[in-house]
Order: sequence, then structure tokens, then C-alpha cells
Amino acid sequence: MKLAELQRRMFAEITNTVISADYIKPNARLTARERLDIYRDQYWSRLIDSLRDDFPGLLLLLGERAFQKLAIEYLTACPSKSFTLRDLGQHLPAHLQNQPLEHDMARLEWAHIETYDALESEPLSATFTPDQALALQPHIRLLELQYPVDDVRLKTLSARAVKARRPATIHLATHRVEGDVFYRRLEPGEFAILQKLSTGKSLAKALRGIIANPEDLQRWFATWAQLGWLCHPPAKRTSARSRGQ
Amino acid sequence: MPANRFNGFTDYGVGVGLRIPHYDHILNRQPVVEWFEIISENFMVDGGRPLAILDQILERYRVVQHGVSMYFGSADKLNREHLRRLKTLVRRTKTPWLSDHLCWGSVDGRYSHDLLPMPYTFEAAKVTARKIREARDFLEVPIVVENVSSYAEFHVSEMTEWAFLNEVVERADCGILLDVNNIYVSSRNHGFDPYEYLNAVPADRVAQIHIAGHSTYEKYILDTHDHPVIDPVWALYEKAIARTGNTATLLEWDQHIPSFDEVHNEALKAKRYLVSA
Repeated sequence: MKLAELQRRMFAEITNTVISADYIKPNARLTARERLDIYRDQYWSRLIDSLRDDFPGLLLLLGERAFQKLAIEYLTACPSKSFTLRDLGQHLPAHLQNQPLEHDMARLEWAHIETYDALESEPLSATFTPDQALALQPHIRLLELQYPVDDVRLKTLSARAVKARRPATIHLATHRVEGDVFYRRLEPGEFAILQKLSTGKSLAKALRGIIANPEDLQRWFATWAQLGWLCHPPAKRTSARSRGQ
Repeated sequence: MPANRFNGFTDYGVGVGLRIPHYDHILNRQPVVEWFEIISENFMVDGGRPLAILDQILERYRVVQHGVSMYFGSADKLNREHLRRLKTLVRRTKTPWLSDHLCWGSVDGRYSHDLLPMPYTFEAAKVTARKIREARDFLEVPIVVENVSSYAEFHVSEMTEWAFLNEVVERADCGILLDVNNIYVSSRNHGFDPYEYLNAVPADRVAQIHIAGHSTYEKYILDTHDHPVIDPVWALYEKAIARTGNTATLLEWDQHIPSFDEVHNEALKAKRYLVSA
């Protein structure tokens, strides 16, 4: 059996159904299937543990048994395609799109992971013009959610209490201060402006169509400045052609 | 042979793995440690706390990178994004050598996140050696490969594990991270003489040695890195040092991690076997 064929077969049998472990030698204590099962058990326990660590809020909402069932379904549908376990849950929000509460929690928890180790840019200096393109700190993620899942994750609201609630839109930013991840609730107008700024729009364009009183705007900007949320857009690469080469 | 071309001609002594539960102790107490081994994948990120901690460690300590997902033995091509991020980290840490495992773990771009055992065939040795060379050429740092613990053997194998290790490192002209605990674990699982393995290892290619604890089950032994090193593994270590000379040694402890002092003291037991200069 060639290397690629053996690896495809063993990988499929570790991650899915064992058809035959006849390419593995038995020994005096273990059958070929039992030896393969050591790897199967390690695969599933390692990956499910990783999801459990990364999605504690989802675990709270679902409970241990349902979480494990979800993890197996998810990993079967979306096997890891990254060299790092850090990325294992990246498709979990999409996988849960038909379960609004769990979908919200998975989005928050994936945003938490991204915020934790994203780049931090130099905050914007005090002077900038209204027409100047701006950007948000790369570690900020903006979320519009139907349930207050941040409160469940922070354990200020029980899973039972949030399940009993009717959906009601909240706006949230995950962000980082000195290495720690924080969640900050946003007012709708503030969220709308930040969303536009996150796409590289200038302040003048971001404010277009936003109904907010000047005091609110001033307060929002003061908070963003204090948190260092605004920065310059990343420099565009100069192509070889534009350099005249 | 304390320093050779496979460990960047360094003489690092005894180190421990850098683990999250010990961060505060290390940064606040600044214990005297000869070097730390980091898991590369934990720091191949864009920013945040992982890199901030690493930079603080780098200010005070020597760091060597150890990877878990290069999968030199997979039939897949090397992952270019992985290599790119790894190179960025190599430049940051200035690691004098870089280790990963002699195993496979990915198929068609899908990852098991495990260290799966190689079939010991000439085809596999050729593929593995070619990938090690490609990685070394891209990363511009000596590569050393670690023998893994294994729980299964294949009918297609054409040689012993130690013959395969020799075949790969000769073809790749790379170094070896000799894990004496893994030799012990595999010898018990497969019923071979660990000293026969040890005696077959090309001593002049050993860049680093790993020691660790493991867990014993009814029908097999699992490489769990959650116990002190047992006497038979220390005996293997003594024999390894007798063959290689003083070599950079690292204790791995990854689960049920005790205090930093306990881990460090366990690692320092290796000094009993090192020859005083």
C-alpha cells in the first residue's frame, strides 16, 4: 500500500467509520482495531476538549451531552483544515445558523478568540481630517446579536434565563486592553458608525445617514479615543508596476 | 558532543517547556533556567498576549522552538501559510534549531492534530526527507526531527523504527531530537529492546534530548507527559548521554502540570547524568 493511500485510509477511519484495520499489525495484547481505536479516542477527545475550552458559553447553554453531540456533528461536517487548533471552531457559528441563540453565542466566542490574538495597531493621533480614511483596531469585532449571550458568557445571566427571553437586538464590540478581552455594549448609532469606519470609510462618510445628537457623538468619540479604537488603515502595498519596474 | 551543526553549535544544558500556568511565576520571580522550549504553534499569531509574553521571556531567556504540526511524514505538501508564519516566529525567537516530529497527521489538507505513526517504508522515508529539506531551505534554520511514541505498526513496514529514523535523517541530512521516553513507550507497546534502538541512533546527529513521564494502562502505555520521569527512562537517558555527550535536554510536562519549581527540579535531575566540564 502506498503512503498516500495508507494515510487516507487511516485518517478516514480515525475520523469516521472503521471499515477494516487490516493494514495494522495486531500484537499479543491488542487487535488491529484496538490499536487503531487508541488513535480514534485521542482524536475525538483532543478535538472535543479543544472546542469545550474555546466555547464555554455554548457548553453552558447546551449542557455536556448536547455539546458533545454538536461537537461530533460539527467536526464530521467541518474537519479541521488548519495546522492550529486555535482555528478549530471558526466554522461553528455558520454550522449553528439555524439555532439563533446558539448561533449568537458561537459568534461571540469566535469573536473572542479572534480578538485575543489579533494584531494591535498604533492608535490614531489626535489630529485627523473628516475626509481622512480611518480604521478600527484589528482586534475589534462588531456583533449584532439577538440574545444577551455576553451576560451568559460572563455568568451574570443563567442559561435558563436567556433561553426564556424573547429575541431583542443588542450591539456589542469585543476588544482588547493590555492583553485581556472585554465585551462592550454599543448604542445602535455608535455601532452603525463603527461598522462604517471598519470598512475604511472617512469620518464624514461614516456619519452620513446617522441620526445622533452632538452630545452622543462627542461621548462616543471620547470613549473610542480613550480605548485607542481608531487607527490608520493598513498601508496598501505598492505593486511592482506602480513603482515603474 | 555538546554542540553540533544540528543545534546551531549551542550548549544549552537543561531546560523546561514554557507553559501557561507558569507564566506569572517565571515573569515575577525570574528563576534561573538555562532555556525554555516553546510550542511554536502557540505563538504563530498576529498579536495579543501570547506574543507579549513571549517577548518578555525572550528578554531574559534563551528559547528553542518545538513544533507539533509540520507533519513531515504526510504525503501532503508542506503548508505554505504554516511555513510563512513559522519563519516570522523563527526571526522573532532566533531559535538556534527548530524541531518537529517524525510523523504524519494531515491528509488532503485536513488535520488530525495528532502525531500519527509512520509506515517504515523507503517511499515514506524519501517523502519525509524531501519535506524536511524543503522546510530547512525555507526557514533557514537547522531542523531536527523527534521520534514519536506509537501505538500501532503497519504490515507494509520494511524496516525497524530506528532504521527508518536513520534512513530519513541521512537522506535529509538533518538532526535528531531524541525522545528517550518515546523510545521506552514504543518499546513496551511493540515489544522491542529500547537499547537496541538507542545504540542504532547516529549519536553525531542528536541535537537535543526529551525526557518525560507517561501513563501505563492494562494493555499499552500512553505518552501523556503528566508524571515524573521513571527510572527506566532515566537509565535510557544515561545511556544516551554516554553515547552523545552532554546534549541540550528538555523535560516535557503538559497535563496535570505541577508548580514551576516541581517541574524545574524534575528537569534538573538530568544534571546527575551530564558530565562536568
